[in-house]
Amino acid sequence: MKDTGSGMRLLWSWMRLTWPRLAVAALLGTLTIASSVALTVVSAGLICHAALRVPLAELQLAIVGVRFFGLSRAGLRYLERLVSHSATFALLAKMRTACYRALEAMRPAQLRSLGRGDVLARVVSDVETLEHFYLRVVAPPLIALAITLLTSALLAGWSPALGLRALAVLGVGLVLAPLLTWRMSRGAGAAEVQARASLKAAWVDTLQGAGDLLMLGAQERMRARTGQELSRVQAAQSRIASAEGAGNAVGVLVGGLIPLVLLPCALDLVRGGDLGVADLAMMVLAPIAALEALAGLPLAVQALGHSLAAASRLQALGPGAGAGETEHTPARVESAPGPFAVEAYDLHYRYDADLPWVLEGTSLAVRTGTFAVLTGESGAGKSTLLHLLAEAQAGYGGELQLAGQEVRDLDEERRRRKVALVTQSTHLFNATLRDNLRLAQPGATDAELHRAAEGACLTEWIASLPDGLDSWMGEEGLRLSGGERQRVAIARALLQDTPLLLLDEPTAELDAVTEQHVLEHLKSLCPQRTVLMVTHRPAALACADVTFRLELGGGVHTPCPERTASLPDPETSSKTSRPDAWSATNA
Amino acid sequence: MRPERRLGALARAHRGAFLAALSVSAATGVLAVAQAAVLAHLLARAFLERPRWETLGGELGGFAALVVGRAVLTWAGRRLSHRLAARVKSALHGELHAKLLALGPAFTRGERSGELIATATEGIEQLDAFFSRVLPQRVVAGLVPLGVIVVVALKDGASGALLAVAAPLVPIFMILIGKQAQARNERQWVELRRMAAHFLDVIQGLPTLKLVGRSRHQLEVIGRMTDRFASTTMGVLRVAFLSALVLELVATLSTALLAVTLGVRLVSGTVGFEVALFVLLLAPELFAPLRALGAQHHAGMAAATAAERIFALLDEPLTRAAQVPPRAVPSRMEVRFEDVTYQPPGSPVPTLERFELTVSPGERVALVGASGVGKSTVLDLLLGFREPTQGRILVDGVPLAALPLEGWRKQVAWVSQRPYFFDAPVRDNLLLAQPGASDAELMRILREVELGPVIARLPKGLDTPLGERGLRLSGGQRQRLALARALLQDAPLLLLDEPTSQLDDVTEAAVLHGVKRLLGREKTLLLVTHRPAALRLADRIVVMGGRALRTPERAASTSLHHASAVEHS
Repeated sequence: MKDTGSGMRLLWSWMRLTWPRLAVAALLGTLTIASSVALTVVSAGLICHAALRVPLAELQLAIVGVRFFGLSRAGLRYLERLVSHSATFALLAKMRTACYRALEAMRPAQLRSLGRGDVLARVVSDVETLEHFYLRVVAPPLIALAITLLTSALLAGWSPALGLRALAVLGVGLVLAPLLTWRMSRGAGAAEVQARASLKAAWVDTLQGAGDLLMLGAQERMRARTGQELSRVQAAQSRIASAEGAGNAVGVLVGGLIPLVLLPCALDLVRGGDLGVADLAMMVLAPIAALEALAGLPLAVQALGHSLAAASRLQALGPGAGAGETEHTPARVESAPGPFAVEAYDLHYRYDADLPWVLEGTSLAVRTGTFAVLTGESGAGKSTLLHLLAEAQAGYGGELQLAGQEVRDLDEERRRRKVALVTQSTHLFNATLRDNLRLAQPGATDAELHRAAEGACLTEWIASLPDGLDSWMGEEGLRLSGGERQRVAIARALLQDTPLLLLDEPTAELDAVTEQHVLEHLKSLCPQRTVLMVTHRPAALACADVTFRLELGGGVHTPCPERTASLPDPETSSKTSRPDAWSATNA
Repeated sequence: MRPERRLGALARAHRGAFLAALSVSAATGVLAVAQAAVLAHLLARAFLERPRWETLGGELGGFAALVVGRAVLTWAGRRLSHRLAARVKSALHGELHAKLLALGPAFTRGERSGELIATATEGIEQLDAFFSRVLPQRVVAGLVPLGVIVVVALKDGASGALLAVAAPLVPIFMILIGKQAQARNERQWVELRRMAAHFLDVIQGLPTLKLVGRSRHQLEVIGRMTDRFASTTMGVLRVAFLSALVLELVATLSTALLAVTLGVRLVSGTVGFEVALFVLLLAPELFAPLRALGAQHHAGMAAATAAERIFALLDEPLTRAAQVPPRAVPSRMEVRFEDVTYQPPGSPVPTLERFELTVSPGERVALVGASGVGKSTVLDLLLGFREPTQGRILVDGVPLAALPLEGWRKQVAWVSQRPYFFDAPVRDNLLLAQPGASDAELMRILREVELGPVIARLPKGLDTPLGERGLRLSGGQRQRLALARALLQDAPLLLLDEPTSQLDDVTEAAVLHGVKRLLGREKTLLLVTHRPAALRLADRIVVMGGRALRTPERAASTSLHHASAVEHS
């Protein structure tokens, strides 16, 4: 329930931003249906009066009215559609930027874990769900209420008794149809969303595990599982369809109830002389025409459920999902760069308070200008260390310094100029290769691009592309192999031209020749730049100036300290209390 | 249009559900007309006779019965149309699942999988609206207006004629305006999806954007793109909504015209009051289904687009004949590649060209070579995930293409680069390979691949679920578990694709030691690797993209380095 409340608040905060247009759209929607009620009333009146053989001249007003309302209904509907769609687009733009801002404000570690769980993809589909929030959820009940009141008031103008009865019957439809739909489908919407997520997971497993499934002869087992998930989805959908059908059936019943309730009363009034006989048909037909406004209510209830669920998920993303603004990090005074590019002392880090420590008392120091390699068992925190450095994350214990500055104090701009990171999974955008590379350095010239490509051993590959640097990448463009993707990421990082270059298993999918070439280029960057690379590959280990071996539990070993002997000694600094950079330390 | 026709055929295949859904929809339409007729009669009597309402009891009762009947049918119709949609979706879903597995990992893995998953989940879901809404509404829109015209014409020829002229105007105008608007509308629809795709692209790439410090910049881009899209779309919508405007105009103006002509004729006494009222009440019933159909337009279009993608997959040709006559699979693993070339469909160059290799039973062969030289293709061909474009593969003299795939695959154990595990306990995942194995046996193999302590540390040991896709374990641990599973399978041929790529060298050495012990002397091994230590498992190293080396001594020696092996090529 708390979730629903927060989703509601979020939707409300968005609606407020575009309310004038939404109000106009609702007004036009009401007028459209009011026109069709008026058309019914006036044409019924026309026929009834004509049947009394009144002179034709007396019918002129009615004839004009019939034509007018016939035209106005169509015209108003057209206007209403235009206004409501433009309001929808305005809302969509606001929602997209707001969601993006919320995500953008997140810690990168949080973002990566969201990306793995498909949460990011869900954010996008949630925004799409909310795209039609006004058209499908807000407008129908507003218009239904307005029409109910207007029609009842119209009837009350002839006779308060008729007005009250019309209000009662239409009110039943207004309340009962959505209520019944809501009661019958309660929980089904959430169940459907959940079942669809499991179904999707089953498909992911099927496609990504296809080879193993076939080899283990487990395809039938998998088919049974997806079939089962699909029937769970359909069970929920069946409840929803049934609820919607029941809501529509209530609408039909209300339509039948109108003559049954109003006709006896109207007849009594006619017989008592309180109502002209020519007006009798109008009194019954007006509320029936008004029912059109109630027809969308069962669907609106369903859409409301979906919208609230989507909105509360978006709300859960964080405060920025509302109309928040970006935070500012105060500029800091730059201190002189130390002899070490990277220093960690008694570093502790975990992804969440209830998860085990990933880094537990790790200490190491990478001298400026060296080619350093970080190795060790998977799970020892190698990638975590790189990400902490590259993303300037706070939330770690102990000390972690980048060129003498505490990482948690760096602002984004400064961090970006100091360090580039090649991750294990790089996203290639739906854009040209040039744009994908230039992301890191928007002003880079083609010559610079080619130089970076050369360093990542991409030159031949680019030459083989249909449009060279202008070839499209990403979902709608070229499909890159794992190795090509890695090399594009390396080129992008080279282009960023930072004093410290961090690489996470950059050559894992490269063959030996390419790997050697890339390694040599990286090595040639030193000592102007510092390279810190996570790898298991012997070729990389072989050309490192220094190797750190991270152990589970935080220990660091440097099995080959003698390699560093040829390096110039760092100037003695005030940091004498630090453990010796190259020796093994244990927390 | 073609995918829609095929969707219609799919619906008709479920004859019972199809007929039930459509006949109930049609009956609901008929009852709506009947209800209007009875109401007209009631109002006419009230107007002409001014009776006490109690004397109308019979008619009121009949009217109530009609209404209740229509309400029940409305509810049942929605349920039945959902049932139809569910049946068709289930059938398509099963067909798609089987088809994609038959196409195999060579087709489904990699970049394409995201698109395939979207087609299999959201794509099939989009068909729902077609079966549960568009199709029944089409039947109603085809039948009810015709019925209304006939009924009205029977009562009053002139009004019937007017409606018979007005009604066809709706589809005619819709087609005239629609033709032009439709083309734009569809382009816009595509554009809308593309913009959503851009948003998804940016959101998914956000970690990368943050890393290069370009994430703030995109905020502006998203706002600008959405705004620009909104303004161009509104321009198109102004035209697109015209077809709806015409529909509304024809509907309301014909009602208005009817009312006026009926009024004039009533004054001149050429038509009776009950007939006039009847016609007036029925006229909106003629246009209501057409209007409802128009409202389903987008749902129908989305369904057609989705159907096109689904049918394209179902029509994807299978490279291998689905059925080969059953025959015994040889257990003597002499594997011979004879002049085998493989060229992926649509690719200008082969990934494997004129490849020759003979592996004797019990031999251990390592494949090395630069990436892209076709090592993985060799394994894929042997696993039956791809079929040679030229040449053939023989197993103990029998062409692989003539062997039943399922039987052949039982003889092969495989460790892929990204092994897959069920979200089930460790034990269940291992037992898939060898259903009868005891816990002691499992633990023995796990110890051989250095997983003994890891499994023992898990909260419930062998009973610990591995989590989605085995993600509870690290990459290196999953690799070792896959090795354990393959070794447990006890198949005569073992294929290993970079089995130690995620292990550090200490663990790797220990694991390889265990693997060597478990291999025994009878098993045939084909290994793809970049790692020198792993090469030591082999009796023979084949350098692809160069000549085959027959150097068992060198393979056994510890100094062998992969990079130096490549230099020979």
